[in-house]
Amino acid sequence: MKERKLRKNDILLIGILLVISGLLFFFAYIAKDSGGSVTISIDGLEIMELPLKDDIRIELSSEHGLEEGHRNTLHIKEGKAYITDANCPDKVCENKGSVCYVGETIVCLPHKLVIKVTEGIASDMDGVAG
Amino acid sequence: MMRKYTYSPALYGILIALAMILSYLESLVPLSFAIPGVKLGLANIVTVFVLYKIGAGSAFLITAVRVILISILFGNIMSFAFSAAGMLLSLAVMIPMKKSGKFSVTGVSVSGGVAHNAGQILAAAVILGTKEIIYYLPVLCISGVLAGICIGLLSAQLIERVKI
Repeated sequence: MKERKLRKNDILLIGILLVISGLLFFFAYIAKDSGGSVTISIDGLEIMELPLKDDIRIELSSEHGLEEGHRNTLHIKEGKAYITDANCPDKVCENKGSVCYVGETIVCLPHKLVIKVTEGIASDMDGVAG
Repeated sequence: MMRKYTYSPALYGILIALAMILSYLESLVPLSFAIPGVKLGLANIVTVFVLYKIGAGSAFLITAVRVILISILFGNIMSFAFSAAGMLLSLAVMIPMKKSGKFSVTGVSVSGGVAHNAGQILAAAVILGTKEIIYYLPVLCISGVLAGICIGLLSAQLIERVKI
């Protein structure tokens, strides 16, 4: 039956979707901007903001608002933030690697943790100077 | 003659069990090593198959039961919310796409794959209260297209060859 064969409309649909993906990639790329700081949110609540220029290691645990027993260690090194030592089941946050561009995030869904790169103070200064 | 089997509980049981096994098999071979949400969605072969062989209502029923049972067995309330959002949006797109008659199985499956990923991103954005998760959209859009093509081609073969 004709439903089974790939048709011109299908190719068109796939083409359009791929073009849209390409455009999204492009816009995400040009919108990239090295961030000044990272904000840490747990369960939608912003708990702290850390500058990216300082090298820090911070162990996020229940005292920061994570659920009892949940643990993620956030490192900031050479302007980049990354997570190690997470005891979440999927390790997606560790595998995400380092982030440094504005808007980039490390999300740990099981722990409801979101690390987000923001412009921070450094970029504001550049904005004024530029 | 075929009509006789389309409302049989045994057939639905077999299809749901098959969808669950495919979900489980896929969870054993995680493709989402770097980007969360990237996966083939083998269980959707059953959804597409039922959508063409039996009908939209049955496809919804079988997929909904699969999502609920898989979440109870292996997931949590969060994974249920993501799966349910993806499932609802993908069926909401696939059913009219199929009805329009302008697309083949592959086209319908591709639109479903992309809609599924979009639904999951929306759910994640709402639950986590962060807009930045939208940055996953281009990756998940492409992965939805690729997974949709695979599932569509596989389903098309099954729809043609399997008699129920």
